[in-house]
Amino acid sequence: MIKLEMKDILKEFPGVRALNDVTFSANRGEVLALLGENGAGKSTLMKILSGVYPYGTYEGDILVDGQVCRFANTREAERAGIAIIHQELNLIHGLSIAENVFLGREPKTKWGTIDWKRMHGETQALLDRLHLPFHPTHLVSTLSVGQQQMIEIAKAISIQAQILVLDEPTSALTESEVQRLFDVIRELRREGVTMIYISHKMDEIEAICDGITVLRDGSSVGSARIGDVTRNELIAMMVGRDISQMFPKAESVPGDVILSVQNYSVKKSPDTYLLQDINLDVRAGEVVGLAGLMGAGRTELVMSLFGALGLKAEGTVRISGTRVNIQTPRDAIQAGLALVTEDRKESGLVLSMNVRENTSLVSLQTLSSRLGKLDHKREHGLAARYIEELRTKTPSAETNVNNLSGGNQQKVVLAKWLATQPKVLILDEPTRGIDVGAKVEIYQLINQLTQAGHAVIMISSELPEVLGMSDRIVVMAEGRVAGELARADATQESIMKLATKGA
Amino acid sequence: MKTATGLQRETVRGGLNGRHLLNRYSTLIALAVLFVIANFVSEFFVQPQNLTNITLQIAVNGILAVGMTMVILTGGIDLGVGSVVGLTGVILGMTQGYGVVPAILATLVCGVLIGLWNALFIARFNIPPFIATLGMMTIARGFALYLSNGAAVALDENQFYEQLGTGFLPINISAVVLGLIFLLVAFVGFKSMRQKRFSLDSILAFVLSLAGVGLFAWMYLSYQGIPYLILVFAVIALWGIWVLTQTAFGRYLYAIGGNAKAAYLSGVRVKKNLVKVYVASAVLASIAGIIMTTRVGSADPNGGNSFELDAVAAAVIGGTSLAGGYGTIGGAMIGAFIIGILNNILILANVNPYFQFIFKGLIIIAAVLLDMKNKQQK
Repeated sequence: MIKLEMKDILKEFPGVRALNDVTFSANRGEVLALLGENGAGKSTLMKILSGVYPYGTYEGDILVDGQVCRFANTREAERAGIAIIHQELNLIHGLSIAENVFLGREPKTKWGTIDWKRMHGETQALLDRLHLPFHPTHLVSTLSVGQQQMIEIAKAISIQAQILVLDEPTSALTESEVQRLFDVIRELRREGVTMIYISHKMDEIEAICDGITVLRDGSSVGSARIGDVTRNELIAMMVGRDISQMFPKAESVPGDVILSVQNYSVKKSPDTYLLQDINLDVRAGEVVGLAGLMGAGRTELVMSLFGALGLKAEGTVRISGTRVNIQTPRDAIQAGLALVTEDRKESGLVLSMNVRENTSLVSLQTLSSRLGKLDHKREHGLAARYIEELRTKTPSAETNVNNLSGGNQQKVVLAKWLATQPKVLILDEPTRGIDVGAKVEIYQLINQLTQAGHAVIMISSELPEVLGMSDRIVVMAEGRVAGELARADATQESIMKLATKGA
Repeated sequence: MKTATGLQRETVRGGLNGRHLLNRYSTLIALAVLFVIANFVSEFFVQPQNLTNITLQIAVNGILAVGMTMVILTGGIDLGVGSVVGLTGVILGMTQGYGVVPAILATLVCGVLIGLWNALFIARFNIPPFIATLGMMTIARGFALYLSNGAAVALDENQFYEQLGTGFLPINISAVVLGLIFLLVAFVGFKSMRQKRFSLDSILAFVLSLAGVGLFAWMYLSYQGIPYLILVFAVIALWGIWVLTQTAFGRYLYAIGGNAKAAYLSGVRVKKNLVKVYVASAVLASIAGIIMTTRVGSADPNGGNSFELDAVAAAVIGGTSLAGGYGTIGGAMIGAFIIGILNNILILANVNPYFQFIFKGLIIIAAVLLDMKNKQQK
């Protein structure tokens, strides 16, 4: 019996079609895996299902029990029995378990005050059902991430969710917590709850799911029963596309090793590793692509190398043969590193400043006299030079960066780092959220840099980009280097295989 | 996309846009309007003596506002400055027996220590500035009362203190100084006008700054010359403007307030700069304490009460964003003048003095509301 059906869903954002005729269905009591690369449209699809994008902002139909649903908001979706547990949990840490479970729908006494007795009683019943050894008055902040997730599930049960979406539910869980979660999922399945399970981890999908639907580039490319398809077939379905002519990769001859990282480890707590035993060499004139799934430790690795992670690292880092001890970003900059972070608005740009001020931010000291007086003429010159070199589309150097498009903002971030003449340029998701034209320009810029002898490390979750631009690809999984692939040997399949290894 | 480019074009052309000018000079226009109103309230207002007195009354708040603006730019706040004014006044009074230089040095050292203390908790232990400096507000006041036993400490007769607090630079020297300032402003203004290819904006700024200097020159020269404490105030204000517009340190303050994380990742030593800014604020508060004490002739341990709020008000009226990242010393100075002139008007109009507080409160709210509207339009 079909419980949920999403039919011909089409969703457009300004300039992009995020979903293109996506269709899938799930039976009552089925656990359906929704599979796809980052950016394939999974989150968008789930946001439509849960009413975040209301009826009217998309085309196509949502059918629950054969009835067309038109949710105006998340509350209506909840009333139809749809609950979603996001990757980032939506609990209020300062409130108790009971207060979180009943947030916004607290049972009332006849006086209009909160009926604490009933609220605590019902919460206790939910906790018992999930075999959770907590009291309803415990603060959520005292629970681990895995336990908090269980509270989210308790909340979903309490609104009598018939359709439960789990978005990468195991990304922050320990092994035993994962088993616990699976027990709960199995129990809910027996009770007839339909679940949509979003994950990259093949082992988990094979262990817990009944069916699979694969999304690619905003379209549903196929559905299958678990056991009817091999893992390789699934990966091929997920990535199955050619690398287009988008990547103007220039041949470059790698020179000396510029950055050498040996036996590099970072501990999250005394007994858990965030990064473990990483070895990595980057040569002049070379682009090393860092591939891996979300949470594989790629961003943590570059942040740590840049002195910005705030955790103690073991191992040795050499730049041009000299051992360096990088404790702060300032040390890293002096050693010749530059880091374009993955979120330019959050950590790349000072949005209250203009193009000139952002461009010169790292170089202010070299632009100042010994007394600290800024050389405005040279600063203006620097900004003008990089606007021209990177072809940044801005009305003037005095325009606030907030008014620029994503691609041009990214160029300002790049300008800021190029102005320091770095030996090693680290790019974390350099083309995220920017349009195709600007992407190609950034690829061309990477080419110019490697030809000029800079070493480049590029993190990207878009496999075609990694394949298209890297001379060498290092694949990370669970804080370790899972393997290294030469440009000639690398395919999307071989990368995905390494990336999902052991996961 | 369309709207974004439309906006950008407007900013480029901006020079001739009426609304743009209104936004840019809104606080200055408010000050001018207040000036005109004051004329109607009392003909005594434009008397050079009254105007000179207004500047004397503003000086302490103006000095505090320089430091406060720098602190707020980083996204912080310094609620301790009012109490520091009181405490440093008492310290000056108690150490006056050791001579002028040691007494002033002791006062300034006290300011440095207070700034370091604030910075220790804010930069090292990440205590929110509001809390750390709220604590200092009580601590400094407590010390002021304890050291003075709760009684005012009179300054002994002393040529230096009297001159600093109430004296004037002789009128002929004042004339020379003001003339030089006029020439300097004209020269710098002309250079910047030429650099900006004589855009309407730059011409307007040139004319306004010359008119401002002219007004001050007329006011002081028609009375008794430049008061010494105004010289101190002017040097501090100019220093503040210089730091924020001409030095890397000033730029870092904007960057820290705008996006501390991006600033840190760009190699800015966030903590070190925070230490500097809180020390600057506390030292400026001790200078304000010295000035206030010399003006009155005695140090009141309760002096400076709620001055921190006036300084915040001046900064905010002048367009400084409490969230950090936006603001100028020039704006804060205009803000200080708006508050000062408003108080003067109310006194001249014989309004119940308690109304001052009500008006000041209303003006702060109106100023921020206006500022937010302006920013939304941008």
